[in-house]
Amino acid sequence: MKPTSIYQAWQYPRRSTASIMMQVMLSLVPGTVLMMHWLGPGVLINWVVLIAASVLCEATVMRLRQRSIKTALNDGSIVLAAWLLALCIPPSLPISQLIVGAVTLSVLGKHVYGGLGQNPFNPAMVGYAVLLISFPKTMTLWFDPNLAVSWTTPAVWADWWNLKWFANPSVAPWDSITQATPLDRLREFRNQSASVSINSLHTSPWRELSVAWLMGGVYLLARGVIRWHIPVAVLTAAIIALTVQSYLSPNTTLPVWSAMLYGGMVFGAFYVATDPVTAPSSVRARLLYGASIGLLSVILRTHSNYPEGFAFAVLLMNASVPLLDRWFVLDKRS
Amino acid sequence: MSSSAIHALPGGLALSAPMDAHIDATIHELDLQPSYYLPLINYSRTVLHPEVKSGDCVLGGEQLAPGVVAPTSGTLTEIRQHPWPHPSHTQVPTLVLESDGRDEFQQFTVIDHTQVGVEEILNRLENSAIHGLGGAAFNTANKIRRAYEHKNLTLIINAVECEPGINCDDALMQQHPSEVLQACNAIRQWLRLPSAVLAIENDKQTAITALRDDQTPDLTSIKITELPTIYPSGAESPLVQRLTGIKLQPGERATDAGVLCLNVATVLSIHDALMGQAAVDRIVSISTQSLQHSMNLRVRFGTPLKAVIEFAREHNTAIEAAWRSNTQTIRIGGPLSGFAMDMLNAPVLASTNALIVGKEHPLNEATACIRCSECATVCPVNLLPQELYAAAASEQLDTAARYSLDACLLCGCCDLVCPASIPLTPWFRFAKDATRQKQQSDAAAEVARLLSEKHSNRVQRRAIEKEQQEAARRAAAAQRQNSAQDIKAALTRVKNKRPGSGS
Ligand code: SF4
Ligand code: SF4
Repeated sequence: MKPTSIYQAWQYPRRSTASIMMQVMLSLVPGTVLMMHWLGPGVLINWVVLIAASVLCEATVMRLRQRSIKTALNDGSIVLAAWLLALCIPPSLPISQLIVGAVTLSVLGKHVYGGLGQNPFNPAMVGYAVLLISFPKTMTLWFDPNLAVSWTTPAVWADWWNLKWFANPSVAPWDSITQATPLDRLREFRNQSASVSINSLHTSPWRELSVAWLMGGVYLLARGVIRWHIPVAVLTAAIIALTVQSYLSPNTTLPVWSAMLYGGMVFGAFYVATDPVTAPSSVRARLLYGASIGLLSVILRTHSNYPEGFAFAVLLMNASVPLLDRWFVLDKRS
Repeated sequence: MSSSAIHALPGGLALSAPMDAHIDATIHELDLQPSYYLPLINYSRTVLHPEVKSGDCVLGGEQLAPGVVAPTSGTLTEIRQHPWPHPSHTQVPTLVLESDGRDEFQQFTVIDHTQVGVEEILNRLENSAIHGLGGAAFNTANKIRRAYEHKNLTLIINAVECEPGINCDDALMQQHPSEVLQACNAIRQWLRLPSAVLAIENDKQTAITALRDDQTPDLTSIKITELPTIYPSGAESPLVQRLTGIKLQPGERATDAGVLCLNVATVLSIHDALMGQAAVDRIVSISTQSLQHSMNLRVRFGTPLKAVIEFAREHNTAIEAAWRSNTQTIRIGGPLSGFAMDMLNAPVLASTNALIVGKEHPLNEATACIRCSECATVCPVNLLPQELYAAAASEQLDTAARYSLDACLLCGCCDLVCPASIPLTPWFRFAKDATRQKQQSDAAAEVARLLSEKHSNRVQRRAIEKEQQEAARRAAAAQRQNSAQDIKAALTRVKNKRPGSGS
C-alpha cells in the first residue's frame, strides 16, 4: 500500500515549513521597520507592492499549473522571498520595475523549475539579478536618507507617488539629492585611485541595518531555524578576504569591519545564503558553500561592474550545489 | 569489550514517555482463545510450506511449518487467506487452529547446555521456532549460528526498549529479574563467553533496581549497562555503535562484526525452549494514543488482535475510553516505528511488540521537500532520507538501494522532524516491501526462465559441459585427496620410524 498521508499516533512538537518561514519573517521585522524609518516611504511601497504582486503571480501560476493555490501560499515561502527582495532594492525603484521583479521571482525563480523545493536558484536573488541587469540605472540609485525621510510631509508623499508611478527620477524635484551607497562611493574612489575616507561615505544607516540583520540572524540561530554553518562560513571567509585585501591595497579599501557592515554581507549571510532549498545538504558541503560565497562576493565587489557582489556570488554557488552535494554526500553513500 | 564508555550516535532523538504516564507493569494473562491464526509467510515474505494438513490434530509446541509451531492443542480446520499484521494490509495463506480447550503440549526433553554442543541447542531453537521478540522477528537460531562463527564474539542482551509506549521488556524485567539474569547467564555459558552486556535505558530505574537486587555473585558476568535515552538505541546497528563503537556498513549485520544482540525477552524464550517448554507467546504492550496509560499482556502467537484489545478494554478504563474515541484503527508497534492497522482479526506474531489504541493526530498534508536536511541530521544511521524519499516516491527502487534503503531502520525519526510533514518512513517501508517483492518475483522469474529453457539445446549443451567440468573437477579433487593421503601416510611412516624423537 502506497503511503498517502500520515497519521502520527503521538504528538511531537513538529516545526512546519510555514512556521519556519514565519520565524524568519518575524526576525526581519525590526530591520525592515528601521529601514522604512530611515529610507522613507519608498521602502514601504516596495515592500507592499512586491509582496502583493508576487503572491498574485504565484496564485496565477498555481492556477495555471492546476495546483492548490492554498498550499502554495500557506507555506509563506513566496512572501518571504518577496520580502527579502524588497530589502535589497532602492526605495525609488518604479512600480513597473517592481512588478517585473515580482514576476521574475515567482516564475523564473521558482516555477520554471517546478515550484518550491525544486528551484536551484534563490528566487529573491534571481529577481535581484534580473532587475540589476535590466535596470542598472534605477537599481543603483539611492536617495540621501537624511533628506528622503519625511513621512509626515504631504508634499513628499506626492513626490514619492510621482516618482514611483512615472518611473523617471527626474520627475521628482529632488533628483539632486541622490546619493551613492558606501560601496558605490568606494568604487568611485577606487576607480580614481583616491584614498578612502570613511567620513565621506555616508555610512548611516547601513551600519545600523547590518546590526539589525545580525540580531535577527542570531535570533534564528537561537531558535534553531537556521544552522550556524553557512552564516559563519560566509562571514569568516569574507573577513579573511577583506583582511588580505586591506593588506594588499591599504589605500583603496575600508577597514575590515566597516566593509563588512556597509554592504549586504551580513544580510546575505543570514537570510540569503541559508535558504535551505538552494543550499547543499551536508555539513561539510555547507561550510564550503558558505565560504565560497563569502570569498566570491568580496572578489565580485572589487572587480565587477557592480558595487555589491553578494547576489551573484550566491547564484554562482547555487549553480554548483548539485556538484557539492555529489562530492560530499553521494560519494560517501555509494 | 574493554571500555564501558557509551559512544555517541550520529542522530536519533531524545524521546521519553510522558512524565506522568501510568504504566501497568503487571503481566496479565489472556485466556485461551477459540481459534488461532498462523500466517504461512515470514516477515521477509517467504512463503512457508505447511508440514500438516487441515483436519490434523496437533499438540501445543508441535511444528506446523518451518518457523511455525502450534500455540495450543487443537484441530487445524483450514488454510485460508487471512489478514496478517503487516503494513501492506494484505491477506496471506494462514493456518487456522481451532483450540480443543485442553491446552496440551508436546513433551520435549530438557537440554542441559553444559552437556551438549551448540549445534544441538541451535537445532532445538530451530524446532521451537524461536524468533526475535524485539520487533524484527529474525530467526534466532540462524542469527546465533552466524555469530558463532566469529572468534571474538560479543554478546549484548538488548533490553534498551527505547520507544515510548513499548514497555513489555520493562515489565518482564520488573516481574522476573532473576529469571532474566539466569537465562542471560546460561546463554553466555553455552556460547563460552566470559561476560555479556545487558543494555538498558536509564529511564527504567525500577527494572534496573530489580535486576541489580537479584544479581547474585554468580551472575556478575552479566554487566548491566545503562544507556542515556536516545531513540532508536534499541535497534541493532545503533546499539552496536553505542556500545562497541563499531559502525556497521549498510547491509552489514551485527553478527558480521562479531556482535550478537539478543532481545531480553528472546533470551527468556530460548531458555524456555531448552528447558523443554514451548515458547508460544510474547508480552504485548497496549497503550492509549497519548501514551499516558499502558498495560502489558502475555499473548499466544496467533491470537487475533481483537481479543487482545477486548481484554485491555475490560481491564483498563483509559484504554476503553481511548477505544471509544477511535475510528476502528489501531497502531501496531510504537508511535514512531509502528503502522496503522484496521484489520483487527489479524493475529499477534513475534514482531507484535505493542499496540496503540485511540484516535491518531492527523497531520498537515505533506508539502514539498524544502531540502532542509533536518531528516538527515536526525537519521541514526546517517542516511539521506530526502534523497531516499525522492527515489521511493518515484518508485525508483534501484536508486533507493543506492542510497542504502537496506540500512534504513524504519525508526521514524526523520518523519518526526520533517517540516514538510512528508510521510518519509511509510514510503521507506513501502519501498522496502516492494524491493523484497521484486527480488522474489525476479527469483521466481529466473526459475521459470530456467525451466522453460530446459529443453533448448543451448541449455542442454551447457549442462553437459558443466557436467563434464564437474566430473573433471571431481576427478582432480579425488586425485588431490589421494596424493594428500599418500603424503600424509608417508609422513606418518617417517615419523614412526624416527625412534624416540621429542620429549
Ligand atoms: S526511518 Fe530510516 S531514513 Fe528515517 S531516520 Fe530512521 S533510519 Fe534514517
Ligand atoms: S526534513 Fe523533510 S523537508 Fe527537510 S530535507 Fe528532509 S524530507 Fe525534505
